[in-house]
Amino acid sequence: MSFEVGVNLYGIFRKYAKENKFKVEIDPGTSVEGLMRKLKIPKMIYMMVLVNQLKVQFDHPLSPGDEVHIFQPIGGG
Amino acid sequence: MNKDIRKRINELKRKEEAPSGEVYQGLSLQVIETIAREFQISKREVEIAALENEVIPIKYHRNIGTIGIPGQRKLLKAKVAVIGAGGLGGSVIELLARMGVGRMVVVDGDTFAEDNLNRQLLCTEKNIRKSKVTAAVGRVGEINSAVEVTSHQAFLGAENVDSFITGCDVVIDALDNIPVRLILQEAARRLNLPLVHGAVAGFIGELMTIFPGDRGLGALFKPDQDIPPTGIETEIGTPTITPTFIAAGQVMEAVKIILRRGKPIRNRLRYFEVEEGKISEISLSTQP
Repeated sequence: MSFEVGVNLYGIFRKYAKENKFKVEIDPGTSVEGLMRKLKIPKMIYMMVLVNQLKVQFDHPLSPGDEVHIFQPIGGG
Repeated sequence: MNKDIRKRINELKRKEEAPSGEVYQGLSLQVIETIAREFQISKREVEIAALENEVIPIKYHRNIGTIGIPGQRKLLKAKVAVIGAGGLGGSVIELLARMGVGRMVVVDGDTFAEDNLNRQLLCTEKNIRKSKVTAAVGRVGEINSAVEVTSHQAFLGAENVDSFITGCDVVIDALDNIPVRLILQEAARRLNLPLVHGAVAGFIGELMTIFPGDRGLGALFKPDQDIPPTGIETEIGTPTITPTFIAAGQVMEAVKIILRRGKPIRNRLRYFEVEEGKISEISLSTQP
């Protein structure tokens, strides 16, 4: 059974969807990387993914109702 | 307060009229300097004494309607460490001096380069290759000579961080790389000090206040994982608009902490997309 997760895109990642906050349906076992593939978001060196307020790796498996935030880490001053 | 100082302030204060028509008792720059010389005390001490006596140093009059006389007094008594005197730091220092934050510790081991001119408020064509902290001291002296600045021409590291921030009320992270930010956060936590984080890249900036018990940057960067030394700014640079924007937010947070007003932005990364005028909040886990 497929399920929904919330996606929130920031900065340069906004261009990969019409909305910057939306729901998407995925299959069980889909990882962050799988979600990105579905949304056609490329993997980048400077990329930060949080799931439910915690930083995760690309292979992190998603669960129903997860909130995913994708943005770029910044460090300049 | 020394009675003689109070008496002298009352002798030399003068009636000032604000644009609203309100009349207040003010103290001019010259009078502040005279009293400091006469009593062999600092200008900052004269200003604090004046405010305790409901006399307003004229230079702060336009702050008073918003933060009040007690607020201005608290700012003058406060001590804020600014770690980094580059894009963020230069603007932070300027704004702290104008707010009348009485004591500042400025730390930066770097000198100015030509490619700093696009964004670093303290950098001028004349001070290329000169010390950033020296420029900071000079600039503060020009804006508000009552502010007492301690400068350290040094790069922050685990071995020296405690000596820079001990005794401060607030620490401002105006650094330019992620690993040193984590060293600063760890030290601020250990010394029980609030830290105001800011970072910039292109037209994007972020801001977060980190109290000692907060997870802060630890929610984004785990020491056991690869920590990138820098972010996307190495590719896209930083135009001046972004550090100015974030620096203002950082000083706002510092003022809120010192005056105990408002709600500091904690456990949330406030993410500014300046070009679009979008401000988002990314909540961070508070669980260890």
